[in-house]
Amino acid sequence: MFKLRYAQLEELYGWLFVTPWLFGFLAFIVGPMLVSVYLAFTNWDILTPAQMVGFDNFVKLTTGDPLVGQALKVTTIYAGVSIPLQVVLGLILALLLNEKIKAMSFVRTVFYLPSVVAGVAVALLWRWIFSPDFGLLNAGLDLVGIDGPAWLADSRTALSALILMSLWGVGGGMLIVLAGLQGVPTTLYEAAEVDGANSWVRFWNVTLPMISPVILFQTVMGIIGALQVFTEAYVMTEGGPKYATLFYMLYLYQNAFEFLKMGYASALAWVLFAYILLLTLLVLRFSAAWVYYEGVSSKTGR
Amino acid sequence: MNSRVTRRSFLQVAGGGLALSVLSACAVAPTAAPGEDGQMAEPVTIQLMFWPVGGERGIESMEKALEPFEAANPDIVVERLATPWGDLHDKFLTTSAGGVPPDVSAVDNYYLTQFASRGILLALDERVDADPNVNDEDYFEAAWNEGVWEGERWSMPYIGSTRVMYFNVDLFEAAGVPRPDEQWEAGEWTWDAFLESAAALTDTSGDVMDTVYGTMADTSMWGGLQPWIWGAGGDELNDDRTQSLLNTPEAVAGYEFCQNLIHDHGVAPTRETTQDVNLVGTGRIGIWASWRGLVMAYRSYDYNWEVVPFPMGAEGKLTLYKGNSMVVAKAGENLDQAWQLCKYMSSQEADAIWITNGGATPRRDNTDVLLNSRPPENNAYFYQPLAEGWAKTIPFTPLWVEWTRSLNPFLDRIFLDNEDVQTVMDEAVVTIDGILQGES
Repeated sequence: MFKLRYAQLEELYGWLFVTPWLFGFLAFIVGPMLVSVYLAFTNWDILTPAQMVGFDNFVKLTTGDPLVGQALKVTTIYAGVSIPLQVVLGLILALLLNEKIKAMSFVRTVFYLPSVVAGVAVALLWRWIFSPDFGLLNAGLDLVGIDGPAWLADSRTALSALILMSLWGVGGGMLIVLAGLQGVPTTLYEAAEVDGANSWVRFWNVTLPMISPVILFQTVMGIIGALQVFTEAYVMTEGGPKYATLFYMLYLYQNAFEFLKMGYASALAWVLFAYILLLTLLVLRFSAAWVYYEGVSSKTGR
Repeated sequence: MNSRVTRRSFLQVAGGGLALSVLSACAVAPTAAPGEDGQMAEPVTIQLMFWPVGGERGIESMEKALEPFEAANPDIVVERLATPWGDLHDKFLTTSAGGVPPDVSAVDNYYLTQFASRGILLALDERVDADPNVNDEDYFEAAWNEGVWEGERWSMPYIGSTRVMYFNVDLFEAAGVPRPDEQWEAGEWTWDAFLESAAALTDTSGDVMDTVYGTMADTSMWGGLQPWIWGAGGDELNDDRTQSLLNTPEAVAGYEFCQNLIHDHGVAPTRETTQDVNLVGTGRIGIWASWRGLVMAYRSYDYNWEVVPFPMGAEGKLTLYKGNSMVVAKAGENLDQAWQLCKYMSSQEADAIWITNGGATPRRDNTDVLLNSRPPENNAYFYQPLAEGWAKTIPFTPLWVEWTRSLNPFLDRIFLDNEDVQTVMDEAVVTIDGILQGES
């Protein structure tokens, strides 16, 4: 009987422990992805055999379906506005909560708490907040003499309302930035102070560069998340009014499970995948200009 | 003995345990087999998927219904799969695609033809014909026929309801407005009378928290708008269901009536407010349309309410009946037992429970049960349209979900933006026809 060397044994254990994940990854992620590549070239209603249609689905979604363009537009605007808002607001909150004041743990918890509650419950809660006649938001606006709109019922304000709602989860981002802030060595601030830097200069030249990897992480994750938004539109607006909140994932879901066009929905999914990949690569490509790793600029690599 | 557990030995044991667990989970369960001496076989498990009407109350109702069934059928064990309505149809679809659907399932009739057309349901004609306990005369015609598509029966009727008008008796009495049920009995309950009553009850002059609206406008094709379109003499689709008729003058008149309730007459709140706030529960609505399923919730309200049929439009007495279905999945392994359960879910015995606990409109042979389930006192109005033949059903097609979804932005223009109905529906019909004809 042969004996395994220690390193081989370690490797074996490694594979053993990673096997459940690997199985799940192959069976439930890679497998379906490969199948969906095939399905994207078929007409399949889920229940009867798929029929090959070549590139028809891709031709239709690029030239014959105006709702794809609308869904991409809505989703891109949402991501383009909500991600910067979330990042900036998260940063501001983190800076405020990085101070040493009484009951700071409690205050941090309060700000973080909303991001723990998510999904359908939050969507329903916000429906009430946005209610034109009885909602909290318009009641508040009324106090300062503003006649609030019918937020979700007006195609001009519905998407803005959902963007506003996305700030509900800003506590999650805040927490990550806060961790980043606390990782900035105090010696850098002390050195800057010795050099006569005021608080703004310290923030701009020390804090921001040092937490830039965290901001990059949030931006990338934000793009991936925002382009896949579904629950809010599904629960609150069903894509309306007049397709003003027709998010890409909602349209994909409708095609797949309501209209039973799984082939077309698969094609839509791959277009979304390519779009997310493209945006992520662009952000990573341009991150070289503003992201620093522990004093090493990713731009110069030094 | 050295009993110290090292990290390595712990991981070895844990890893081995995990592997064993995985292997045992993958093992095939022993199948039931008849006894050696030919005695009764092991009970067969039949999965039943349903949405609990009213949450916990719906689960209790189902338990109450299944108790006598399981007692009378010791060879069948029913596995309950309580699933929210919003998830049930996706689940039925995906489990069917995976070849493991629940044996028996409730299906909303909005989806029935979609499923039937894909061949995943068991056609029930032969079993219905052969079963002496199933008699179509026990059901009202509208309810019985809704389970038929393209000449074949795909389901048994289950918790259906007619559309009726509920009204807040206290508000009517306080305003000194004649009760709708009295107007109905006098043959005077028309669209005009409905509008007059709603206008008399509406009070939006004070604080928003004291606002009362005469009515709520129906703004959705999922059950609400049909009685108004039909009542005005219009229809949704042509006879072979390949063309939309929603831009005919009659259909347009039906839409306009509902639109004007909000925008011209101001007797109904905006659609947004209707969806967001429980105006009925807080007693701010005078008269509104709904299903019998809401009766259970209304019984907890702290004001008096009653029901009355839909007001008479150009077509006279008319309302909508929409049922739901109990279906048998074709891919099931125990079709005979599944049929037994499916049939029972639609039986007189189970129907009595759906009437008293779940708010369904009764079978023809269960009207007495309904009459004794009060409030409301006017219970007969729930089944009179069925008994007298003035309840219509929706012309479902496998494309029904898609074409009604495509109509939503057009309905937004009508009910939110108050655009001209004829203009909007002329455009809508082009979209709908594209869907109906492109894939028919």
